[in-house]
Amino acid sequence: MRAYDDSERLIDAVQVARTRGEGIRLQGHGSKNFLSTPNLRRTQGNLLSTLDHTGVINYSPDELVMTVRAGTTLSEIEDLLNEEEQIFPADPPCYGGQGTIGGAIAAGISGPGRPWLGAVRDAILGIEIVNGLGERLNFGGQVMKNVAGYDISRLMVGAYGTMGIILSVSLKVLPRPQCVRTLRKEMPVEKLQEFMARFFREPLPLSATYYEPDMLWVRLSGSEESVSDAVSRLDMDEDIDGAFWYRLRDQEHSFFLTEKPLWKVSLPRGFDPKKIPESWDYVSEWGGAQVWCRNDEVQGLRETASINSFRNIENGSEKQTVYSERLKKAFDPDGILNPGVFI
Amino acid sequence: MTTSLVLELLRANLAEQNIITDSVGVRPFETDGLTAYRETPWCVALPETVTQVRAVLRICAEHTVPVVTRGAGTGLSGGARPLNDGVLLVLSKMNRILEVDLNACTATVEPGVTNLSISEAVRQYGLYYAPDPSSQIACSIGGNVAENSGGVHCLKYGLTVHNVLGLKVQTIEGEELILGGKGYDTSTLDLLAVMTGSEGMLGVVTEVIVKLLPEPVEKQVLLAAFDDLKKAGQAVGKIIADGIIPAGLEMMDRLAIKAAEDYVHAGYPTDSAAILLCELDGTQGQVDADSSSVQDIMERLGATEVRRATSEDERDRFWLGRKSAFPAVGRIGPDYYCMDGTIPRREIGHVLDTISELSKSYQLSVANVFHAGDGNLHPLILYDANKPGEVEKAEALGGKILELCVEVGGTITGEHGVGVEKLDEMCVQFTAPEIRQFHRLKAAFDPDGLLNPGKAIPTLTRCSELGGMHVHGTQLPHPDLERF
Repeated sequence: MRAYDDSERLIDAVQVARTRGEGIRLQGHGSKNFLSTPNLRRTQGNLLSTLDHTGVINYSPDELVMTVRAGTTLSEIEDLLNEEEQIFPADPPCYGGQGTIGGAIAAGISGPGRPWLGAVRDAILGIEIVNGLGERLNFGGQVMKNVAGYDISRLMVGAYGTMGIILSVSLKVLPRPQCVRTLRKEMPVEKLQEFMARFFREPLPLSATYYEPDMLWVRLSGSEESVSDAVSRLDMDEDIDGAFWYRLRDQEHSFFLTEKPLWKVSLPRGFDPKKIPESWDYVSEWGGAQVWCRNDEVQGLRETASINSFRNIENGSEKQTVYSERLKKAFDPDGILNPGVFI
Repeated sequence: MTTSLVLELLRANLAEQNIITDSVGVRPFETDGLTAYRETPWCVALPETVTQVRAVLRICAEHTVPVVTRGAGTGLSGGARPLNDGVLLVLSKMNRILEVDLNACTATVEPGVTNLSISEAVRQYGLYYAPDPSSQIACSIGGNVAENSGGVHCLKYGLTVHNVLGLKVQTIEGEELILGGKGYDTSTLDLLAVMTGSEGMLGVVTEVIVKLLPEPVEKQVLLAAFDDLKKAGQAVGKIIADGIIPAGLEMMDRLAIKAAEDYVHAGYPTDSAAILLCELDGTQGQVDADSSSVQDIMERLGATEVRRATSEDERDRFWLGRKSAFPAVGRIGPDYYCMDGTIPRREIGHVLDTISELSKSYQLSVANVFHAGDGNLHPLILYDANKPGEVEKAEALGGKILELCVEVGGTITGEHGVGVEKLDEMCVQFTAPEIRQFHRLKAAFDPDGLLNPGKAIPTLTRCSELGGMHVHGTQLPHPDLERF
């Protein structure tokens, strides 16, 4: 595996940009440049690649912790974990088969197991960043429990590099489940909510769901005993295609191969799918809490989203934006990191 | 500040009995669970509604009066220690469970609801709220969010931050922030994560949406005795390394075992150097298989005895000693000081040995009761506050233990928070630029520094004046600061 400490160059680049009053556009593989929400293409800064800052700093399988530099690729990490029969439970996407861990943390996009195995933010134990002042800072650590100082590690997840260049992260990893099986069942939307209610309410070893009207797929992960017990209780058919979930994660599944805009809608857990407007051409995952919709215009988006009483559609409320902007300034007072992105 | 005017304004917004200023009435609020630190609050406000919380914050902001927020006051780091020139905002009267959503498997609750009462309210549906700090019978969910509380079961089920889906937060500037919700992930900055564990420094939590989990079908508890702390430590590492994630994995040393046994007669083997309690949960088949694997590991690593609970009664008895350990230790000395460092599991043996040496050199007994599975230590330092100099000695020993935790790659606090207690140790764990970054983050939410001032993050002046600073090799933690 490649290993190189490129941190001095990255820190220098921030200091130079500050002096010149120029922006920096951060990029790993650039595999998420197509996403519209953070609008990575809008930024005007000079490209600064994190790809050379790479390698595993520490991997202690017995401690379930791995500390890696940001430019390390997700596939390198996966290979290493495989050797020790461990997994990174957040399972972030590798769009086009690419992606670095730095990019995965910066984007904070979680895989199909998110409700049961945890999100990217749940798997972060510590982080090392360079803030907009060119300071190298460490937050969190390599232990499971740590409440010293504000949780800046998690704040960096999904911040798209606007608050700091991620140098390295400590990840919580888990033992690979002994047994993984995929089941499917034909399921009209009328019966879906009742069936899926069990997914949060019963102690099933569930690790993913996918619904494409009118077919429901579920993934079970755990010990042989618990998985076979669940298989016997769920009354579904076995599906042998295990790669199914990777295609879903990386949006290579046929539904996602579309020329139309793809909308990501976050809904409450247990949301009644019958309330999804008929005009939507959609699929759902995460027990129905994440819906993907491929329509040119999405009718009823605002209405549907507002059912989730605690959720503001688009980029949050104005008040939240005020605090987000102030937070950005607290880390990057001159606004040089990914200017124009996201905030 | 014009105190009479502020009081008048507070009384105009809250019921008469919910504003306390008389010396007898405010006395119960002088301290939280860290009783060595006391201060008499100038005024205690007990709002019953969000509107009243906002009114208190608005009045305090307008008149530059500091506000300390308090839940049940069970915190162990002095985070809710009041100020004699400030308002103590006590949220214990906001204790309603607003909604249980069985489709989403969430509960929406006010901040004063106690941790345990959430699980009690949803038990009828086969659900529970996973984080279970030892104080769960009394501690409130708002305080849990402020401290990012853990508990015995967080090894498998996570901390508060993993189990809270949404928050309503009132800022000192009078804004209400709605963070997260019943769904997952937002396309905004993760303010929910920043708010969790922020020790009342950034805002006041007035509503919490928690995730409810299904009760496991089956539970089993194993008790293993060891004649050597190191062997017990190795067993902990081996269980996790073998791919088993127990629901709880706890360790007690000789002094703690004896204290617990004398107190509750749990049937612990008092002649052993350490015991491990390992709880496994899941389906029947999984629990049986895991129990056998764990028993095997413990025996191979030299356990002198392994017991498997054969009934629910026995399981409860195994836990009883552990759960009573703090009060039990409280009986054997006049006072104890509870530490909260976290270390990598592989360092358990080394750190316990070093604590034992430190204990001898400081001539203070230390009992160890802790969450071994996630390396979260709770050394209990026994001292007598009535003996001159013992408090300081206990604090000095505690400081050494926390520095040791940082030295081996751990942290000064796993779940109790920094509060007023660990400000000096923060200077050991963080560099000056990191501490400045914390202060800038705080200022983004609270520009005038009115929320819980002086807690959680030390001033750089404090760090530079700190005597007996920990030094890594020849590197001083704050080389850019002048030293006095």
